[in-house]
Amino acid sequence: MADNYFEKHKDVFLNEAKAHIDRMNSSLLGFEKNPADDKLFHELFRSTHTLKGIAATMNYVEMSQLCHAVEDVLEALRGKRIGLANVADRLFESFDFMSSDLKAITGDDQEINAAQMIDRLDRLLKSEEWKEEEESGVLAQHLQKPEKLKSIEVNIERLDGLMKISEELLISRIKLELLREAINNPELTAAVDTLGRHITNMQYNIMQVRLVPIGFIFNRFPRMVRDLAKRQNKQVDLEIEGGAIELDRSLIDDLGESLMHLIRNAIDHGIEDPEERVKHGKNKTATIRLIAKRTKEHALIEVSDDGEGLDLEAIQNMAIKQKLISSGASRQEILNCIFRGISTTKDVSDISGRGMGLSIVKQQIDSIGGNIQVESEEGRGTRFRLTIPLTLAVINVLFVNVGEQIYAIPINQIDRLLTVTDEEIKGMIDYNAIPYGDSSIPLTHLAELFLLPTERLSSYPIVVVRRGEERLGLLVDRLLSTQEVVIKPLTRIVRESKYFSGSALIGSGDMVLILDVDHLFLTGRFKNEWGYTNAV
Amino acid sequence: MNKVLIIDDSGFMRSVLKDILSGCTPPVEVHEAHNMETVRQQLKKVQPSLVLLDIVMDDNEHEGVDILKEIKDLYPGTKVIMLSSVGQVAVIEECIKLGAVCYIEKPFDKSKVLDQVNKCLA
Repeated sequence: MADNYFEKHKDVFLNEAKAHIDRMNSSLLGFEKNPADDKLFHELFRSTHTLKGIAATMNYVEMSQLCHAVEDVLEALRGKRIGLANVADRLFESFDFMSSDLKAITGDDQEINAAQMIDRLDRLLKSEEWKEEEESGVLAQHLQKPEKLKSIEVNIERLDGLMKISEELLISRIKLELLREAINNPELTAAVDTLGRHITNMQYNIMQVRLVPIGFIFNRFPRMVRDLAKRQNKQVDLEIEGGAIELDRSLIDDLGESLMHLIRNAIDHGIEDPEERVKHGKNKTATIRLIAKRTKEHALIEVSDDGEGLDLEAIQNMAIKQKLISSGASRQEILNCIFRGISTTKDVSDISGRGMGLSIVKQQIDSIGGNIQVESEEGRGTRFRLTIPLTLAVINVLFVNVGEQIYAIPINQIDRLLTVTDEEIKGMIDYNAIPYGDSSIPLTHLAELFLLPTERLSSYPIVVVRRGEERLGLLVDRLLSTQEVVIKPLTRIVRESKYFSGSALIGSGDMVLILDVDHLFLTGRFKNEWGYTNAV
Repeated sequence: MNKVLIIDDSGFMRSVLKDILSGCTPPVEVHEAHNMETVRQQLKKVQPSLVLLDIVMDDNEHEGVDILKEIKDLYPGTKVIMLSSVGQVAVIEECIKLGAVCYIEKPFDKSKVLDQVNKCLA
């Protein structure tokens, strides 16, 4: 248990300790590939030593003793009394142990007893014949669970809390704005305006904070590839590109699990033994490529290998037997059966399980609104392409009545709500603009746009939406309520209409179309050919 | 008020020491540095009467001992206490020869740290 006096520094300790363990992992990985690189070895030593010191200060005895044992092994390495090949695995194991210990400490539990792990390190130094053992008891349970990304440097729950608060604020603001229209007090108006601007800014910033570079999940793969390949006596290089691309953290965990599964599959089933590969004229070392790119709306992630590819015939036979496809199915339809539970693995090992795995991957990707495709060439390799939408899966929207229909407008694109009288807009050519601040902004009459029945009223609610600095007024019939909804991607037919960016699943189970504000700007501008400028 | 400079590349260590030093009587002004560059900046700006220096500090170019040498060269009047882990007797001896006043071992005993610090500032 930690000395109470230092408890208050625990968070700082946890962050720093994790950083040290990460560095120890990456230094050793690098040093293994480049044994001549003294700098990496030096870094490894330093991180271990520093971690020992800070753990000791917090009285985390197990952690600090384990670091000491690692240091002894590193000393022996430096003095050339022992070879890297003999100790690398044990060292990685002890880093994993430290991560588990750290997790226990984070959860306010007791430290994990490190005696067994320390003993295994000590025995290396006595150059005892070290045999592949069953990882027993305490070690086993800590070495198997993959770590879910829980926090970066900010606790995720706090971020979620912040996000919720900012959305509540947005809703309050909309209510205030409705009142403001009713009360017509210039001071109140100004105050609500200012408040609105601050809230918008804050929400934007919070959304930025929620973004996580995809590199965070890519980070754990080099170790995993190394360990898996070693266990199966295969040689595999992992190439990673595009780690800087950012995704909302709500997508990260599911995506991480799916990618992990695909990479494991590639090593277990796609990649051949080194001798096999050479026989086929390939490089002894296989390559798995993990590439992330982004377009405006999506993240595109590719996992490809240069292994033996999928066995089209075997899949086809199984699929026909299970009545998933007919005998006239196309090549792509056959390949897609791997997402439907078909597996052609010759042995079922515990490493990545059965073919069910890929159908779960597809489910996970679907659930975050993305999709996954496979390409494969026998003898050459397999490639999976994932497309992940970058929008949040759950947003707050404002429901509005247009004609007899209900549509949803994403709240984070709403600048403000106004009411204008028929008189005010009659004067603007063909109801195409409304007064706004010192000038005017274009107005789009949604009922007209969607060819819905509408009537002339004495006043109309206007939803002013924004895109960057631009503003556009949307004339609707009635403002309804605000609500948090789950966004579902559109089916192909509706997608072609372009005015809608998705559909919202509401409480009753009904679907309401979400307006694509960006596209409305294009339409709005088209109507604004008389030269109305967009006021800010 | 006496000024103390904490030199350690671990943010955790610095915050722990800063916390301990807040118990000094009379109170001291605490400053921090984490690599050679910030050490030089702080020495010039703050002119501390006492420095707590981590022996194994290393910014890939300079080590604790190098920093000790530089402090003693440029600011001979400044007292230096070394912070060390267990089992670094040889390095500690070298540091004392180079002019360090004494050393404090990790894990820190709060009262021992305050003792040494107050003695040095007396």
